[in-house]
Amino acid sequence: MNTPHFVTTALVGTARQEQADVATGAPVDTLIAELPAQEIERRLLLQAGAWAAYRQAGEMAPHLDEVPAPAPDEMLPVCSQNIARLLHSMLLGEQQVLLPTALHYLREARLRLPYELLPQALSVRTTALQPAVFPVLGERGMWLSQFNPAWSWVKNFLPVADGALSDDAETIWQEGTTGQRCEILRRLRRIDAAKARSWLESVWKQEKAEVRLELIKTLEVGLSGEDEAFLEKALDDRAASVKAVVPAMLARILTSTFAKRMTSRADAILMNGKGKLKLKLPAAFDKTWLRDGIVEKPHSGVGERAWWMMQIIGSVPPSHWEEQFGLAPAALIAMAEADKFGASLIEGWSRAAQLFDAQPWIEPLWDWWQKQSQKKKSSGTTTSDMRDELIKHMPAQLVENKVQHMMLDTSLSDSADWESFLTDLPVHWSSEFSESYLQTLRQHVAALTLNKKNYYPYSDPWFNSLETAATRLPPACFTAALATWPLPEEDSWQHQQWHEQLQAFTNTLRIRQRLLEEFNK
Amino acid sequence: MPALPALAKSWATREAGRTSVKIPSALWGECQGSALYQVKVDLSTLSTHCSCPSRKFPCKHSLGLLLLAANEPSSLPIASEPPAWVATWLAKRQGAVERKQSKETQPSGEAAQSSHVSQLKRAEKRQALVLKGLDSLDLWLNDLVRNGLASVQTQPASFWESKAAQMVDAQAPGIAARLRIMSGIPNASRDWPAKLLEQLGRLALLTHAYRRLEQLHAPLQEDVRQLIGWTLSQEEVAARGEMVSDDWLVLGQTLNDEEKVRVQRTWLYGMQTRRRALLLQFSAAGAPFPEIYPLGSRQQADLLFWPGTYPQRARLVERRGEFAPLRDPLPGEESIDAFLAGVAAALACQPWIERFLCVLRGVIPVCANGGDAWYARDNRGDALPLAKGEYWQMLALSGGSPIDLAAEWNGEALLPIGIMAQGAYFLQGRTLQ
Repeated sequence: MNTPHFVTTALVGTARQEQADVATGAPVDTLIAELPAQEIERRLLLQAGAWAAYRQAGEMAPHLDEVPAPAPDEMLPVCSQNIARLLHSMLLGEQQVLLPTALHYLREARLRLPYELLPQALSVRTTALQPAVFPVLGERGMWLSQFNPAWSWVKNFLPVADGALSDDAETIWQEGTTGQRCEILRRLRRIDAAKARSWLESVWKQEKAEVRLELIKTLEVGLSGEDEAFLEKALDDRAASVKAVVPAMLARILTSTFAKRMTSRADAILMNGKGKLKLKLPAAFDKTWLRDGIVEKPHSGVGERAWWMMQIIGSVPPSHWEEQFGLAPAALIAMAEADKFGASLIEGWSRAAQLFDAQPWIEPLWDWWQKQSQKKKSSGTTTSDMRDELIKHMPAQLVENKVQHMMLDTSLSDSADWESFLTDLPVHWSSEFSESYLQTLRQHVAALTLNKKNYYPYSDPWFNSLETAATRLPPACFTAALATWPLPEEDSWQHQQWHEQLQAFTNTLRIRQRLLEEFNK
Repeated sequence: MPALPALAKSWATREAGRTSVKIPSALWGECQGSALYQVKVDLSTLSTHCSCPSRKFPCKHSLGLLLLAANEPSSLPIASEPPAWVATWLAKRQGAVERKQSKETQPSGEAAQSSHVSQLKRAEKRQALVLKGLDSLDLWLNDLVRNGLASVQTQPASFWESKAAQMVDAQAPGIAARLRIMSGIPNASRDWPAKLLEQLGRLALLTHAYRRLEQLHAPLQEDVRQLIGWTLSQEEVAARGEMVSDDWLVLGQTLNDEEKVRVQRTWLYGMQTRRRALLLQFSAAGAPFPEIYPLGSRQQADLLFWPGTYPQRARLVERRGEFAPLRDPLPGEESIDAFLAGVAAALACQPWIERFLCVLRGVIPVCANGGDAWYARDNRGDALPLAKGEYWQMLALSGGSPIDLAAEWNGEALLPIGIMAQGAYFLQGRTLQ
């Protein structure tokens, strides 16, 4: 609508115009003519009023030619209303810790979210939840995500085709987001590693550093000697970030010249002196090391010669030393302990054990670090601790054994340490572990002396373990876990804290119980 | 609010020893809180009462009971007779309702006579005050146009507020409200001069109409008096308004904060009469609204409409029977064109109507510019803009297919209050009680 002339007249003011034209120029003028003749201001106002009603009454809706195609039909049935209600409150933040579990159940049951929950589900804050949300979005959720830029993450999760590449793979590879392109490459690596590498090589020069970094990581899938030439070249990449991820890959190609270079460097440091360890730290930094990713300057508190040694030993498969010495890992570690630089050597081995996932080494190394942490506690010093990293390479059963041992050993169980490893346990604890956890927890709760002056519940590992336990105890233990938890009768803030913590624990378990009941209906 | 699932749990566990029972018209139970509380719900009005000391209304115990009844109806036994503590309360409520009704219908003889005389006197006095106020308003309006609307851009908020306050003093609060709304127009949009002039023009038309009130036909007189701010007493509404019985769909509500008062607009649609009704409630200083309407439900009820040419405002006089959730396709206009034609017809009778209930069948919500602009589009391709906001849930429910939409139309944009999609009704917008 053009601004009618009389609006301009009113905007400027009738005082400033000799002959103010106040006609609207619309058919409504004939009606307006019936209004009583008055001073010009009043006439203009009354006309504007008549015009307003006239315009509003004559309003037409604008035309919208194109609408997006409607969402396709669903392949999955929707979950029940009761499940939807539980999910809704979790998406709103209540019992949020259970959201991943609930989404997992939903996916396992081959159900999808109801439409009304989609906007909240698509808006999950943590990216860690996105892989769990994606499979339960249904056709509608994927359709919906196209309209909101904040939901474009959905595109990174392509529909899972069993191993094979979809028809549009090449288009996605050329036009997709970085996440999508990496997913395509990873899949192609499984089917045809050489072809994936040649796709990568064909775009390598024109991509930006942050994209190159993501793309080159896809070579981890099906890594082999055929990738060596490309990776060796990548050691000279323009970007430090890209260069930094290459050595770890080359080291794992045992036939590579990189691996040979590293092994000969390591052999110059650690030698077999008639069945004994002979450790000879590098005297100076060799500039050729730089290209192979060895960092010259150590972290504070580490001597530089030990630092160089640690990195070189860390790039050589630990099995190499078993062959060199004809000894088992535990024996080698015991021998290393005696050396002045033994701790650094063991740290190097620990790095190598992770890089090469050297299973025979993981447990003895972890035990060594565990012993160190006990010593540290008594001496009060803090040095590096690699238990966190090593435990991630352990099979679930072994992790449970380790944590259970710490939990049951009264000399250890009051230290906050074991509790921090609970998150490394499998999502569902074994019933054996769970029973022993609950039993020991009961003893602990019964024996609590709460109103001690220096007793802080937050530094009690048992208190802190309840949150993790509530989400991971297996259903078989629910009855035992939901039996009442009698606290010593007393009036203290510590008592209040424990009371609330136990209540939160049982609440979470009850909701899990309800979830399971709903899914098993 | 406490964790409701946990609350529902505490109901269920208590159930073994205590009772929570329903008969078709009421719901009650005992809840173990800090003490044992007695909770009762009148199901025809959703009024609740609880013996707990909470000042929140409804309290968590009532909500818990309602939630339990909604989620697990089978867990509640059905009783033939309510216990004494429930029966007494229900009887008291019934008594209150009847007293209220008898007060409305029969003002007693002599007292009414004398109050009528003093009422007339008061009205005369007020009439003089209003007319004087309108005179000063008209002069002020003329000044605005003489000096040019451009001059208001630099005026402080008090420019509008002081005039509005004068209108309140002149007992014309309807005018005051219009002035307060106008204060937000300058510079708020590109075409603000036209918008402001239209509002000023409508105001001028209103003062013009009020001065020649006797010449208007009776229903329009009612409209104009109400627009100026003459409120009708309950007796006047009962005497001059219209009672309409129907199966009413309670489609939804909007909330607005206007000058320290929160205004709740609840929109109803009559299945048989196709009448639209607006139930207004006001709350000051965060007090709860007196009535709770079962949004998203239908209920047989008698509504009393305020008199006027295009009666919209109404009061719920009597509810008949229980309410049922909305499930069927909404009745309403098949096209935007038909809806706008209805609006035009209404404006022809009464040009000051500001809000209309819009019920459109089979429209598609359309999201443009990544969520910056939203439309409802009918099957002819006509589209009305939705009020500023986000409508992701509506889009999710529609999936690009037609839905039925209930919304409030203010002449510029639709403010959705509810949608019917896949046989279920979903309330939209702010619907807090």
